[in-house]
Amino acid sequence: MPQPASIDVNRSLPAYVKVMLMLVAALLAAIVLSLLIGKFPLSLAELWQVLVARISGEPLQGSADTVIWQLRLPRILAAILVGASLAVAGAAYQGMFRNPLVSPDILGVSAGAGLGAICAIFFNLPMLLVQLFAFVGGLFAVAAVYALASLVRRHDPVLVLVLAGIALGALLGAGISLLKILADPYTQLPTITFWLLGGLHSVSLADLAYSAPLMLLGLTPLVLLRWRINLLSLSDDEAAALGVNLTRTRLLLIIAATLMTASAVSFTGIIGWVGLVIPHVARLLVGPHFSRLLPVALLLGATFLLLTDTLARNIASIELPLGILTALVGAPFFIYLLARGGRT
Amino acid sequence: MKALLSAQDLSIGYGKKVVGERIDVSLYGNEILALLGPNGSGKSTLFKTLLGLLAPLAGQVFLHGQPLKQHCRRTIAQQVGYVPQAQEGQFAFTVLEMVLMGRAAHLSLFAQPSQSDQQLALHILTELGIAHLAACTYPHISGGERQLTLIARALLQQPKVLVLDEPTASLDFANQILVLEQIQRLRAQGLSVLLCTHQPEHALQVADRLALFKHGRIEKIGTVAQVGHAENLAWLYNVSIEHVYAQLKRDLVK
Amino acid sequence: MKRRELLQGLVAGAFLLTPLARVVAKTLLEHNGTLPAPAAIERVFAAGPPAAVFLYVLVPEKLLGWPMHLAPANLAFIHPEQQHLPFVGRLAGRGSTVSLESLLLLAPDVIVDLGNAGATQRSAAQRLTQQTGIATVQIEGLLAHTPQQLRQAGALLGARQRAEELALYSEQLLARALRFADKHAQKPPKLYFARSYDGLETGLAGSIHSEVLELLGCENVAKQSGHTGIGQVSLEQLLNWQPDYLLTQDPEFVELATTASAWQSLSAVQTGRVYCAPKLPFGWLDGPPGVNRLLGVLWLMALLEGRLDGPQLKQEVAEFFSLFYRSPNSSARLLSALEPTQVLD
Repeated sequence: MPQPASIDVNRSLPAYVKVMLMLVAALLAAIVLSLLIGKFPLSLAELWQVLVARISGEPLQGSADTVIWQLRLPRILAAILVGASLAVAGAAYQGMFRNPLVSPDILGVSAGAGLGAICAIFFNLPMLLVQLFAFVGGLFAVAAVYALASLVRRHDPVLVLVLAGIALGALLGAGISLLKILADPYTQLPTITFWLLGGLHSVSLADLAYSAPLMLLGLTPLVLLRWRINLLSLSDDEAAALGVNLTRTRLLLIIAATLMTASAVSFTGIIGWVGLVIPHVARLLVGPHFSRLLPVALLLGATFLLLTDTLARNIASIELPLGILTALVGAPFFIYLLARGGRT
Repeated sequence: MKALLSAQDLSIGYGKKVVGERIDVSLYGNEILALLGPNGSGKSTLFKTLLGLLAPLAGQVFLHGQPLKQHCRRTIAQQVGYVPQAQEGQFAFTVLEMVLMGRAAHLSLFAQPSQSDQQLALHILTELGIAHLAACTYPHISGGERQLTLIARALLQQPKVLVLDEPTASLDFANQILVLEQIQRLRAQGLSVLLCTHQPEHALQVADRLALFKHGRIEKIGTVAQVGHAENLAWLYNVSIEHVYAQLKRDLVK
Repeated sequence: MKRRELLQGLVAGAFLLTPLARVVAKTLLEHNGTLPAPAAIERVFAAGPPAAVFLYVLVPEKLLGWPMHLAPANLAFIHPEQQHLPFVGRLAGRGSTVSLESLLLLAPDVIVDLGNAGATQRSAAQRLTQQTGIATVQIEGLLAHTPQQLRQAGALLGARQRAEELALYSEQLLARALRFADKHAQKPPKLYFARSYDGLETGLAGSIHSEVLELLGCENVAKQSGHTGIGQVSLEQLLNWQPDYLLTQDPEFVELATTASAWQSLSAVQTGRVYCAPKLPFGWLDGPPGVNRLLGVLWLMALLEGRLDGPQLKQEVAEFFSLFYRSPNSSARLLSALEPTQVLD
């Protein structure tokens, strides 16, 4: 050996550190940008006063304080949390299902949450119940898919899971369509449509208070499993022969990803494409190894959704549904990936 | 002598579909046992059952004299390394990342490979002559290099037994020699190897014992000297002895 | 006589302000197929909720059924003869729920739809007439065109007398609305009409969902050039707009606006100007966008003049209920319809 191999091995580390530093900088820049611009005109000086006043324990009275502390900051935090959750859950699922074209709602979490939320809207329930129904609906759908798939034996379990997810998703989708037909076309239908398009416009601190812990709870096993997840992207036989308890690891992963996605979807509605496209970009940047993929996807997803949401709330005098903007960016990129072979 | 891995009166298959029956086979310490058999004879099914990836329809597999089903996946993986046929893989892991996955059986659920695990991996890669590939991405190396990577991964399990599924399939001539040499070297280091192959000359070259597998049964088993003659091969593959001689073009054990 | 002409002139003047001014000169009705003689029309199918309300007030005895589900609370204000009409589903618009076969089984003499139809809806109506042989009538126009709509449709459906009665009332009310608008033209009140459970969905200025507000000359704060449907806004945008009043038809929203801390920064919330319009038997401000919104005109005028609790509104509402809805009149019930009116203070 002319060269010790360890030099080659560690060559990727500085590149990864560089990517991480750039992403952290990008996120911080996005946060500052998002704090600065909005529909309520605030000067830099006002912004500074409001921030300092609240931090020094003597909050200013008035609209400026509300705009920053009750509206913009919660919304920024929500965009970061939701973007990060969807991207990380998507990255985990793409590895676990050995398929780079899988998104976090492959097991029906969005369809279940959608049906739950729309039921609540249909029965004119208050906001908190809409969110609760969405969350429970998402969990319930994934649990049903998992239980259904467990009943089927002697087939590739990953394939069975995906197929069960597609089947149940179609069933729940039919339920959603039925409720849309039955809903009052003048009052409920627009609300349903907006929910299905997703958005962060009604986020409050209270939403974050319940969803952030759930998201972190879901993130924890993913961080802890960041090395072992890689083994799930091998074939089942290989992974099992390497000593992996597939059923247990997979279940843990599904629970974690579902918790993150369901708590995000419950108060934002369905925001597509983030969980599909961001893991791709992250993989292009730092490769498929989850220890690096997770932090990069997390930062990238947070930054992407924060910027998209900043656009959504500033582009017109009304709010543009976030799901439309993420798809506007995500779909062309997806087609581009398909065109170059769908492989990274 | 005590068998490391053995099957007793084993029936293998999938659900109602029986692939093989009444299989008795044992792998002893420090030997290479080669399984020969025509296409579709059930070699892969037998391997999966011996590795505990597939439940036997009847009979039992023993690891160190204990029924395999009493072991969990982790303890099996600590004893038995498996080298499947190399696939391209969906994600572009580096060779080193791929090899380090072999440590899974020795790490707890949430742990990561340590610095010493990495040293061990580099050591094994160096021994196999592919240390220079450590930072290369797995889908972009040659078939022979992938096969060696998978062997390195199995070795990182630090197993007593290595099970190789057609280790020389779809390799070029140089890579075939390379892989066979490495298998012999590993045996010399004290490992027991169970392999199957479609190239009888490879089996004859490296194996200590041969098992002839046909119609889901191990019909003949013994040392290369006992079993590895042309008549048996002609019978096994349903061809004439002349064909066997013409094809192998080398001295067979008389 | 003179007074009536003056009123008509005033109302016609209002149309000149609307984009539909040119339509008014002509007929508001468009039809496909051969219409039976007015006296021969006995069975009318309402294509959607606005048409159903329109037909219910104009020709109740000819209405075949309801295109929407009506809860007991809604039915309580419906005349007993129409309380038991079946639910028949709707035709055009966002997905039909009635099949052509069950439509034929109902054997309507004519199908009536209300609202401004686009090319898609028109061609769908044409095809429907071709397929079934049933004539379809589209009544165009906005809330401000209610008198014309009533008269023209009344003539067509053989209910001239009833139509005239209702049209006269509408004309007077619309003229009042115009005078109100004139009075506040210098400083029109700024209104936000909250929809959906989070209150951040709204009918944009110029949409059919905020006609009542704009008819009274109020400023709908939610404006988006080039877009007049339903849109979503953010609380930050609302803080910037600072509407004088928050209106809604959803009691859940009032609960939210009065309890959620972020909403407290709105001056309308601070001053207690959050009002929930009644929605029985049909929405007063919107939903469906039909003649039911004339009640919203009465209500909003009273609200802005600060006499929501006064006897005048109760009397006007009672009058409307008996004239338009022919409600089984009981003051207790009317009060319950007005119940969620004022929520704060």
